[in-house]
Amino acid sequence: MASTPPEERVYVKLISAEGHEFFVDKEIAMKSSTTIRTMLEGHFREAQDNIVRFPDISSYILEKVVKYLHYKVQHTDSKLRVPDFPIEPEIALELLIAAKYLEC
Amino acid sequence: MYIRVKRRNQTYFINCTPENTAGFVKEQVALATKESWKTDQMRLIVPKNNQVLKDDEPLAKHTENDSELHVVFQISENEWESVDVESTLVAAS
Repeated sequence: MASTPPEERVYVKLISAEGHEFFVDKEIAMKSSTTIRTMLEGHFREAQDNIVRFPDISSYILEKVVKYLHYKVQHTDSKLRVPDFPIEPEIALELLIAAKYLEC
Repeated sequence: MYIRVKRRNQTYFINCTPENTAGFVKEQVALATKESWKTDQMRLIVPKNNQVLKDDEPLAKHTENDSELHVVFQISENEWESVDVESTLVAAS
């Protein structure tokens, strides 16, 4: 699944509204979210220091999103039956808004 | 699989296999912090029983996909950070 050798992995930092920092494998982030890929590929400041801030997304939602990004990359092109991704109903709306923004 | 390694207000999502060791995870955390901390300045802790993992222990023994571990860094010669993880759970309303 991981095509980059572990010692060469780059981690990007995603920061939530409360300032919680999530360190994620850059390859996974770029593969699963169009918005993140665009931010990190262009000539934005984010691309230089590999840090993306999300002042409108709370820590709990951002953590759920990052879990989803891993789930998505893990099961893309999988031939086996893909397990469900559990979502608590009370966060579904906020999660939907974040997912729309991140295009993932 | 991946595991979430937490410390203060940070979460490191580390991609790994069940055969990988605690030492591997520490190396990835070091990579993620751009080598601000070396692996021997870190301790990986299993939240359930506060057990400190040895570098050669396989992850399969204590974790599975999406498991949570805690990490603390060594502040100085004899001092280690206390385990103080910011919760990212939804507050019960």
